[in-house]
Amino acid sequence: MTHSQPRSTNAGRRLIPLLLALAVVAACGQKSGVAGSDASDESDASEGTSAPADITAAPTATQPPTSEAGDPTTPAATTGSSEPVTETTAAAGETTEPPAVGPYEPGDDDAAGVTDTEIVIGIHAPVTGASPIPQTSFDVGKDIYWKFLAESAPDQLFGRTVRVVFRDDEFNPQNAVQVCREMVEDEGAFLLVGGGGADQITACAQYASENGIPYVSAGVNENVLSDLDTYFATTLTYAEQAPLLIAQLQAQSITEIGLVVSDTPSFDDALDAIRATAEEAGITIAFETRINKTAAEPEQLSVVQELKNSGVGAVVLLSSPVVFIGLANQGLNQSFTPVWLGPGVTSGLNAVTTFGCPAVETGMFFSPTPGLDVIDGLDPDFNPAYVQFGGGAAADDIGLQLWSLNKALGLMLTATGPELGRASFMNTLVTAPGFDNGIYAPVEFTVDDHFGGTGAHLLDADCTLEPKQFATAEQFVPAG
Amino acid sequence: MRELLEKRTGLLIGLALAGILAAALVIAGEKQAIVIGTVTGSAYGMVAMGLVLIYKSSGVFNFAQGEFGTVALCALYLLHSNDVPYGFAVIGGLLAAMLLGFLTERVIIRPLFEAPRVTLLVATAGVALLAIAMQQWLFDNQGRPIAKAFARTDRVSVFDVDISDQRLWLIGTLAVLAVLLGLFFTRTNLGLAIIGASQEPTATELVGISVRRLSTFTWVLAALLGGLAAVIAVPDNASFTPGIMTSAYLIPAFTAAVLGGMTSLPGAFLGGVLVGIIQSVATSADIFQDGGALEIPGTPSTLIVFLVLLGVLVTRPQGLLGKSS
Amino acid sequence: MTATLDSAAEPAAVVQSTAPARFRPSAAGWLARGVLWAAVGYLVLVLPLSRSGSDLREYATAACFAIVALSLNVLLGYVGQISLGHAAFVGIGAFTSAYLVTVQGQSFWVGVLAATAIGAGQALVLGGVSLRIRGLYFALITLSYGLVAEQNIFAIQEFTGGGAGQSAPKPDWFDTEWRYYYLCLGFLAVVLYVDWRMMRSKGGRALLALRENPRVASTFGINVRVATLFAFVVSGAIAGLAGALIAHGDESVSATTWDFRLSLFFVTMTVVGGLRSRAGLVIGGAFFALLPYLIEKIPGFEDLLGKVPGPVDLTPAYATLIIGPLLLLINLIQFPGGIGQQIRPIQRWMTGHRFDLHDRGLKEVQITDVRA
Repeated sequence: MTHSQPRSTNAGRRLIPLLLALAVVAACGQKSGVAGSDASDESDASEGTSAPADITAAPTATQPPTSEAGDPTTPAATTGSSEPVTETTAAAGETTEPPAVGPYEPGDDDAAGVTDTEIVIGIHAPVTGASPIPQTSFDVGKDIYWKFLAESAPDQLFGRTVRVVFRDDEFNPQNAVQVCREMVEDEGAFLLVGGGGADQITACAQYASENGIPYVSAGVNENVLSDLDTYFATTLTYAEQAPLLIAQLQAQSITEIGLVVSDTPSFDDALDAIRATAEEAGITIAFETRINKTAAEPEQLSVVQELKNSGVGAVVLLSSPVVFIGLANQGLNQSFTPVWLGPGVTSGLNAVTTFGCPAVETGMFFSPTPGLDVIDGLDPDFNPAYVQFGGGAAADDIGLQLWSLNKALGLMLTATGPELGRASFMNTLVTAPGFDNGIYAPVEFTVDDHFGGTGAHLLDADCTLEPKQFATAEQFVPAG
Repeated sequence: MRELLEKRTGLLIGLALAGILAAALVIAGEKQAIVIGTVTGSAYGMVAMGLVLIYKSSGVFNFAQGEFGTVALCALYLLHSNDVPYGFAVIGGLLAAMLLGFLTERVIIRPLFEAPRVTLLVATAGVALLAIAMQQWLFDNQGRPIAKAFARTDRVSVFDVDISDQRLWLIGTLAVLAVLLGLFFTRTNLGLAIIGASQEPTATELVGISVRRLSTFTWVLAALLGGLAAVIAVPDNASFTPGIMTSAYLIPAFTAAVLGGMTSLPGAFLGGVLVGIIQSVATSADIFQDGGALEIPGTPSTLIVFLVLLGVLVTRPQGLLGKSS
Repeated sequence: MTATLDSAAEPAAVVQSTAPARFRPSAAGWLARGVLWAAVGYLVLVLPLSRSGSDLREYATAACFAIVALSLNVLLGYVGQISLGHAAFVGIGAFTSAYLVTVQGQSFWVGVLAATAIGAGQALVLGGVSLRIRGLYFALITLSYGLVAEQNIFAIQEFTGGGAGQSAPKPDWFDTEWRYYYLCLGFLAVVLYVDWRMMRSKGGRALLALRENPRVASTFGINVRVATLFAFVVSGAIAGLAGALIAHGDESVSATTWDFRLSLFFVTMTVVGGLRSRAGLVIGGAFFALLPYLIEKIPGFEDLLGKVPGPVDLTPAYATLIIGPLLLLINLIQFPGGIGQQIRPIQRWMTGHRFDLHDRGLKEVQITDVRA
């Protein structure tokens, strides 16, 4: 009986040309600018170059280190280079026996994810979905700091090494909760880290809080997160950056601004803070709108037109990079090139200049990490570590953000001491005077305030540099 | 004369509606929306024209139409960044689009020739999803810059809205294509054969025309339209992301095509402009925003486009310019 | 072994109702069938118990996706209307239940019931308004409605809990992963039963007649519009139920999940599963839900992917995006009847019929046209 599938025999052959067609698509990727990566290659260790981060859990931490580019005497560069262990002990002493005080009581799974030799850290971030971070950067960068630490100062974590587990949250909060749970239940993560995306961070932090798991991320919103007792932001939240934004506007003598905010309720607190600070400073918000993160072209052009009609000199922007690039391009077509100023993490990524130049030239964004142009002055270990452990991948800003976050985590883990548990870790965070990794402004938590950022760097898009990137306009701008 | 009027009822209704709409917008102080809608909506219209072409000839809702365009962009980007002159890169892009159209027809559509149109819809969606996935992988999900052919942006300005030269080319190409294709389907043997093949395939075969060969031809032509839309419209925004023609243009283009009647090429153009205007007005009109009289949660334009679509289809199922069957 | 017990009981029950008189399998034949039934039972009911919590969550989602496939099948398979906005129906069900349980403090069962009712209700309204619109045009309406749900309805903060989403705790007794998995299986069984009963009722036969030929059907006194609307309402109700189950399974629900791509995904798994084949639909739904999971679990597959040349590593995340549509296309070209068509000989054999490789039930499985 052959009546059923007359054409099926040829179908396999027919599919081959289609695959060839898709090879056309494939060919496009060849120019993707990402250096041929071989993430699996763990180049074996040459001699440890320089020191790991120190723990400047000293009262002086409130004074941000003034950076002199290239100066090898910046604190992060020198201290602890020869005797990390002693340094650690001293620091732990200074934090007045952290496990003894603090509001956190050990739960049933207090030491989950910690053995005598290993600490498991779970990171989630979007590498697929609506606003993804390049996966290659993430794969390479997620544990370079820990590889570097294991080699340069193996005793820093009391004989333990850190294993990083990474999961893609697909830019979807519901999915973020699932992958966080997976990392805790299946991979035994001791603590969770949010790599990006305010809504995903909020959703996963809620899960972490319900289960007594420490959750650390760069600062995003304060809505919801301020109620969670296991959540810690290592850098300024969007709302905390409002005064910095307004001060920057005043410095540029801009009195009328437009305000464009993504239409997620997560940004409500930041929006309120910007409105209030602007009013105090006598800056008029001439036009304000909320915009969908997948805004269509007519919508973008309408927003740009209204901004142009209102004659503002700057637009404060709280949105995803895709929206920023869309608006900036539409603006350029309308000969409308205001200062695009914003808080946060993602719009200041070099990916934005890579494909947003020249329209994004007037973009300025605050960022927890400085540009790559000054990193050698702040942390001379970063670039060499990338050369050593990056498997040939070039150091990039996403790598720097991961490096900085991991470095801060390293300080926190060291300060907690050898008796590591979730409660003792969080008690250390809220009782230690502060953590200074030399890249972030010092991170300071208290029992009531888990938003630990004290300052930010200001980045300025520079399309004339090669590669096009965000350059550091101002370092360690203090908040408040 | 009367016959002509009856034949052109749709067109007259469309033009009358357009006139009323334009007058209303000027009175409401949204005159810029007319320009914004026309300028951006013409990109929808161009994608919609490819959809109409496929639907007219084979009754398929082609969800791969957007990706014909993105593939053209990929090829343009690749060639141009490897120092191929821009004009040749554009031609290379269009050829890539036509190749994908050809292969889609040969590999996917032809084996499913007898299959229901739902199956074909799903199959074209499969082609689109596969193409997008490949791009996401090969671009590591990141956008790329893309140069435009005509750099000047401030030559023409209407109601204070600058219209870039690139956009003028888009609108011009669209208008010329709409007329040419209209003539093609009504005046040439090939065009008439395509329409005949879609309505009476057996009869067409009987008079010695290969329905399958016609099918290949229309798919390649549609892919060319999709490629043209992409290589003219997208570079004006200086960058593109994987799957951009599907994520940003396909659904508005479908709406445009259906509003226009799904079989009418000028209707597709008009529908595109209409969708563009609606999206623009919904974004800028204060009454739909927070605190407005008709506050709509989220993105106002989505709801308004839906209501217009529903309204048109309920009152006039064949669309504004479509002919009732 | 419990397996042998199963094997004795299950085929016997099936045979009583459906086996034709002229063919009775031999004792060995019964044993072979019994073993296969036991294997299926073991795979679905016993094996999952030994897996981890997050694995069980995946299986529960698979059961829920099977319910979604059955829901879409009512529209697509029985009346030949396509919905490209099914993510909206499922999503609204999910948020309804999450909202009632988390914000209003209602019980899970109230939430599920309300989600089902709201699913039916919105289908009634949308279907009622767009009764005149048929075929591919109707598909466009559902697509556009899906966008409205995604960008307008899910933007209502009180309802959805804002960008980070609404939490949706599991019900009291079903608060462990395996119990919840069984709960989802239970609901799947109920939906299968309802579907089966419906298609054996007068209304169900009317639906089929309608699909075969609406003109003939209307001459037999079948009100085409009422029958279509009825199918749409049933489909919406089942979709709402599935949404509630997914939400509480994930214990969290957010707007980003219910996008246009998910709607396409639902259509894909339904078509690949095989219209009007309940077994095929369940397998299709479960398979597509589990695809990323399976890719991760196949030993060595990830390494194999790593060897694929390209400017960027082919990670499981990217591989999933590529493999899904690739499977869809292969399936459509090679086996237009979907999984249901392929497994039909086995299915027939397992229910006590003679094994016939060529019995693909083509006439039943093939999709008849959507009337545009």
